Amino acid sequence: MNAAVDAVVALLLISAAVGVVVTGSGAQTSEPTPDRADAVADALAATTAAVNYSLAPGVRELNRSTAKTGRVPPDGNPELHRTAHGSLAGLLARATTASSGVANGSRPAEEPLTRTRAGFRRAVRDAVLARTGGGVRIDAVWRPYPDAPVGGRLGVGPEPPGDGVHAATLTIPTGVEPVPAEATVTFEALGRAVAARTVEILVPHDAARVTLRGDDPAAALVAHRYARLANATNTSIAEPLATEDTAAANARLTDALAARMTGELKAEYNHPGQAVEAVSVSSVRIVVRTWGGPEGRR
Amino acid sequence: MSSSSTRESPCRGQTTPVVALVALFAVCTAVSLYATAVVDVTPAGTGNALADPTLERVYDAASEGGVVSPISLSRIERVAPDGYRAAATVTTENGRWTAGAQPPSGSEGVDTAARPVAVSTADGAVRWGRLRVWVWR
Repeated sequence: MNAAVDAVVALLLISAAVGVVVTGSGAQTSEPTPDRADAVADALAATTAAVNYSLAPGVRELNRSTAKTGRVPPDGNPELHRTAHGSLAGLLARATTASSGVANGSRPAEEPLTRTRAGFRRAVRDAVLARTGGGVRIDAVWRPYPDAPVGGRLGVGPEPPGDGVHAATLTIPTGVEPVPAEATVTFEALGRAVAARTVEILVPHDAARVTLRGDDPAAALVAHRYARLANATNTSIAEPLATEDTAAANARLTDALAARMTGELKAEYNHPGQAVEAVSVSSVRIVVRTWGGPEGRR
Repeated sequence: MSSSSTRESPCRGQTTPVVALVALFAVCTAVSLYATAVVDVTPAGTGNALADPTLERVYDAASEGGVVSPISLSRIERVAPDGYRAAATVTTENGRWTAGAQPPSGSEGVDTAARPVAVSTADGAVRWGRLRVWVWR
C-alpha cells in the first residue's frame, strides 16, 4: 500500500518534471537568432539608395565665420538641396571621406573639416539605420595609414556588447589610384604619393575648379573648405585660388602634407616596403558587427 | 532484551516512508531542475540544423552578384533537402514574394532561418530586403 502511494507520487513528480522541460524547450526555440555579419555586409554592398540632403549646415557655419549673416539664406534654399545615389556601402564610404578632417594641434583628425556634408552624413546614417535596424553596428573608417593626421569616421547603430559579436569587413575604393610600386623605394616618394592621394580625396581638384567658377553658394563652400585646409596644414593657397588654379593649390597642400607624412612613416616603419603594406589611402574600411537581441526587421 | 523491544517499536515502520518520500521529492526536484538547466544551456538544439544550410543554398541559387531576384526564388524546389519540403519568402518595404509549399501553421517541427539580402525589383532598383526559409517534413 505504502509502496503504491510512493510510486504514484514519484510518477506525478516525474511527469511534472517532463512538463517543466517541455515548457522550457518551447520557450527556447522562439528566440530569434541574430543576423550574420557577412550577410549584412553583402546586403550593404549590393543595396542601392538615393539620399536627399542639404548643404545648409555648411552655409550656416560659413555665415558665422565670415560674420556676414544673411548673405546666403540657408534654410529652404533649393540651391542647397542635393541628392546622392549609390550602394549603401558606397554612400557610407563617401560620407566618411566627405566628412574627414586634418589633425591640427589638439584638434583630432576625425573632426570634419567643414560642416558642409553634415547633412549628407546624417542622411546616410538614417538611410542605413532604417534598413539594418537594431542589433547591428557599422563603422566606416578612412585613414591613409594607421595614426595618420588625416582621416574620417562614421558609425551607425548602437554600441555592441562585449561578447557574442560577429564581425565582417568590407573594403570600398575611394576613387583614387592605389599607391604605385615605384613610390615604395624611398620614404619621400611614398609620403608624397600618399599625401597627393589624400589631398585629392579631401578636395578633388577638377570638381573643385568647376564649382569655384560658378557663383552659387557651393563656390563659397569650396573656398571655405580650402581655407580650412590651408589653415590646418599652415599653407598659403590664396594666390592659386584667386585664378581658380586648383591643381596648383592642391600641389601646395600636398607639399605640406608630404613632409609631415614622410616624417611620420619614417618614424614608425623600418623600410618603405614595410610602410606601404600599412597604407590604405585608396579605400574605406567598413566593419559590420552583429549580435543577438531584438531583431530590427523580420 | 531492551534492544529487541526498540527494534519492534511500531513508530519506526511508519516514519521511514515519510523520510523516503521527502528524499524522493528532493531527488525528483533536483532531476527536473537539472533537465531544465540542460535545455537552457544547450543551444536551440537541432532547431536550425536544416534551415541555415537551406537558406544558404536558396541564396546561392536565387542570387547573382549578391542580388536576389524574386523570380528565381522558384528554384527552392530543387535545393530543398531530400525528404523535406521547403518554402521561401523575400520581403522588401513594398513587396513580398513567396515560393514553395505553404508551411504548416505553428512552429512545431518547422525550421526557419532568415538573412538580410539585396533584392532587384521590376523598376530597376536594388532594395534592402529579407529572405526567410522554412523547412519541414
